[in-house]
Amino acid sequence: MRAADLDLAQRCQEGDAAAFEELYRAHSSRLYNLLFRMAGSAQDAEDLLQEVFLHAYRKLASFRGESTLGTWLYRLAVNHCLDVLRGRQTKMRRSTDSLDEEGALEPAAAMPLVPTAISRLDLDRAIAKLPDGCRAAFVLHDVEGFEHHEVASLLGISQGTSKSQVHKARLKLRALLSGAAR
Amino acid sequence: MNCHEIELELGDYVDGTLAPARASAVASHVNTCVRCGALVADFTAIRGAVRTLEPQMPAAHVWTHLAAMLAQEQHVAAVEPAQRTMPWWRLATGALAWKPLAAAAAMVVLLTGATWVAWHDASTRVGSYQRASTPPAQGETTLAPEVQLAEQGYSTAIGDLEKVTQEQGGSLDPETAKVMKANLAVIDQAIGQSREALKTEPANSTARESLFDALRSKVQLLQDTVALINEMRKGNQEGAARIMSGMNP
Repeated sequence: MRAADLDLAQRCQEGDAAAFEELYRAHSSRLYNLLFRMAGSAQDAEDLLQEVFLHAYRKLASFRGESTLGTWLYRLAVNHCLDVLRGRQTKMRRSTDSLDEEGALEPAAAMPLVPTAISRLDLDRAIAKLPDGCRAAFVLHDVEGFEHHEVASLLGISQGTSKSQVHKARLKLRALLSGAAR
Repeated sequence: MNCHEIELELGDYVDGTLAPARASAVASHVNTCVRCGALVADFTAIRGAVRTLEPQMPAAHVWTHLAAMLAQEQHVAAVEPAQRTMPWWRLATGALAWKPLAAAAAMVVLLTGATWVAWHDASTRVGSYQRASTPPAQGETTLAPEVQLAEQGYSTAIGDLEKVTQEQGGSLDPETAKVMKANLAVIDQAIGQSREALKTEPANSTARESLFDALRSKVQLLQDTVALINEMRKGNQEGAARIMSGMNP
């Protein structure tokens, strides 16, 4: 696997168009899924996906085969997406502060708020409405299936912060989905 | 144990990642606390729903755009040609793939132009001689009926194809569209000049063939352009490459 990855990376560096298309076809779907959920829109995800593969092309020389090419690309995608989200967060600080502040969470209810059957569309919309910070942790943990220590490593945060962000995201989703059900 | 103490642990509880003893303690609280029980029910529902999310696929045009951006990378040009197993300038996909198209389109112009020039040179000589010996009869200002009929067939096809290219031409790379437009203008000029010549020399078979060659070239170029637009819109790079290779002489 690693040898095949190294060979593919080498061929891409040499300008082999078929090799780069092979790289794209093999990994674009998984990366697009991640970027779609993390960025919150198809348009942003498409832009990010192009940028990630451009970065990958520029950085392929640094790929040494310590991990699989898929893992290497995945990490590259997460980092690039986070950079973009951080830039966006700086510009839109006001809109994201509300969730990051303590006490801004929805008040606890004494009965379940989320409908038994949640439509995929409502869920996708609700995830897209999450503030960038907790959406990233939520997507990596709940959607992508990473453990908190892996999320922490990917996002460069502590494990406790990862748990806290996922918890906030779930509380926010609960509020959003209960609203969608009404 | 109170709600505040365990709230952050409810996530781990739902995920099933708490140590057994701690999970048991949280379960005892959840079973007796309506508020935390509601939270656990909702978190569980969300967790289950997330697993039903449908995978998203990138649109086909993402690769097309990406290939175009890659083509602009300076270090692609810096790669030694000898090292390449498939040179970028022969890409079957992406922006560079339009260069063969431009070359093919230019070739159409060259062929059409050459045909017209060859005919024009000959007809100028013959025409000069004919005009000197037999001036055109009065009323000889329209094309022969059979030529008009044939041209009408071409014109209908051209009109339909032009309508499509005008409506959907935005799918083409601007540079390619510009080249196509310029080439069509040259073909139109050849058609116009052939037509004018036939008005004065209706029996000139070379002029007639030149007109039909130019009309055929225009139809072919427009057909290829429409097919290319369709493949571009579908994101079918292989199909686009096939069309372009077919356009290459």
